[in-house]
Amino acid sequence: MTFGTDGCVRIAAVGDVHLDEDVLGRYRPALDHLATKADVLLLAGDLTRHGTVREARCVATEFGNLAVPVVACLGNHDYHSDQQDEVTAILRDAGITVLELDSIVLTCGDTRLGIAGVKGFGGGFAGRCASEFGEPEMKAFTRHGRETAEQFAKVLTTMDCDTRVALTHYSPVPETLLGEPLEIYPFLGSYHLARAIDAAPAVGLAVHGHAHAGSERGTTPGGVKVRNVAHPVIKQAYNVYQLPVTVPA
Amino acid sequence: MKLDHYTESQVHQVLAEDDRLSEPAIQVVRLENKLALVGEVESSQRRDLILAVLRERLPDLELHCDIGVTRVHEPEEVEEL
Repeated sequence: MTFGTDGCVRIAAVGDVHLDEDVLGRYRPALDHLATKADVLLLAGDLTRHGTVREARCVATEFGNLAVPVVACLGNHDYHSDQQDEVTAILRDAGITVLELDSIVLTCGDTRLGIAGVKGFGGGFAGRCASEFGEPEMKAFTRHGRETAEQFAKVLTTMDCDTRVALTHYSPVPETLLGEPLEIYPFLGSYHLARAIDAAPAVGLAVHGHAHAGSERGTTPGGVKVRNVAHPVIKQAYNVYQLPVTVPA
Repeated sequence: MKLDHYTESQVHQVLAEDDRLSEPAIQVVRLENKLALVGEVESSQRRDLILAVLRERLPDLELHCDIGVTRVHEPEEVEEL
C-alpha cells in the first residue's frame, strides 16, 4: 500500500473504542475526513465490549472501508467471549489488518513503514513485577507475558522496513499509567514489552491502550516515545502523530 | 447500607463482571456516606445501564454518578514526534 508523504508519516491512533450497536455511527463524522489528516489509522485493542460477533460487526461497519489503511490489535475485552478468531475474521473481511504477533509493511514514498502488533499482557514493571515463582498459576501468568513479549521482539526486529511502530493493547511503560491506581499496574502492562521495543532498531513510536485513567505520554528506557491512545485518555475520535522519516541513502 | 471496603469491592465486581456492563475501568471512590462512580463510557445508555444494574444488585446503596461520555470530535492538532 502506498500513500503520499512529505518527509514524514502521519499516524492516527485510538484504542478502547468498545463498539456495540449503541455507539454505531458516533465515530463516522470524524473518520470521513481521516485521509486529510493521516496516512494510516491504528486501533490499539478493546475494539468491542465483550468480544462478540455482533460487536465485531459494529467495528467493521464503523472502521472498515476507510480511505486510509486501518491496522489493529485486539485487547482483553475482545477475548472475553472466546470468539477472538471470529472477531478477527470479521474485521479482516472489512479490510482491517489485525496483527497478533504479526506485522505489515506499508510503503510511504521511498520509505517502508513497518507496524508490528500484539495484544500483550500484564506482569508489571521492573522491580515491582510478578515472578515465575511459586504456584503453577502464578508461573503461568508471568510466563505468558514474558513469552509473548519475547515473540513480539522477533516480529518487530525482523520486519524489512526503514522505520517501525509497535502497536499493543497493554502498556510497555508505567509512565502512561499515571492516574491509574498503583495496585493494578501489573494488570495494565509489562516491562517485557518495553524490552522488546528497545531491542528492535529504528522504532519511531509505540502505541497502546487499556489504561483508561492513565496518561498519554511516556518513553521506554531506550528512548522510544510511547503514547497511550485509550479513548478516555485522548478524549477525541483519534490522535495524530507525525513521525519523521529518514530515508536511507 | 454500610459502606466499607467490601461494599466498594462488591460494586467493582459488578461493574467488571456483570455481562450487561463489563466496565472494569470505572473507578469507585468512597465518599462520606456514599460511593462515587468516576470514569468515562462510550454512550449515555451505558451510563444509565450502570446505574440501573447497580440499583438492581445493591438496592440500598447510595451512589454518586460522575461518569462522562467520551467525546468523538476530530483532532485539530498533530503532535510532531
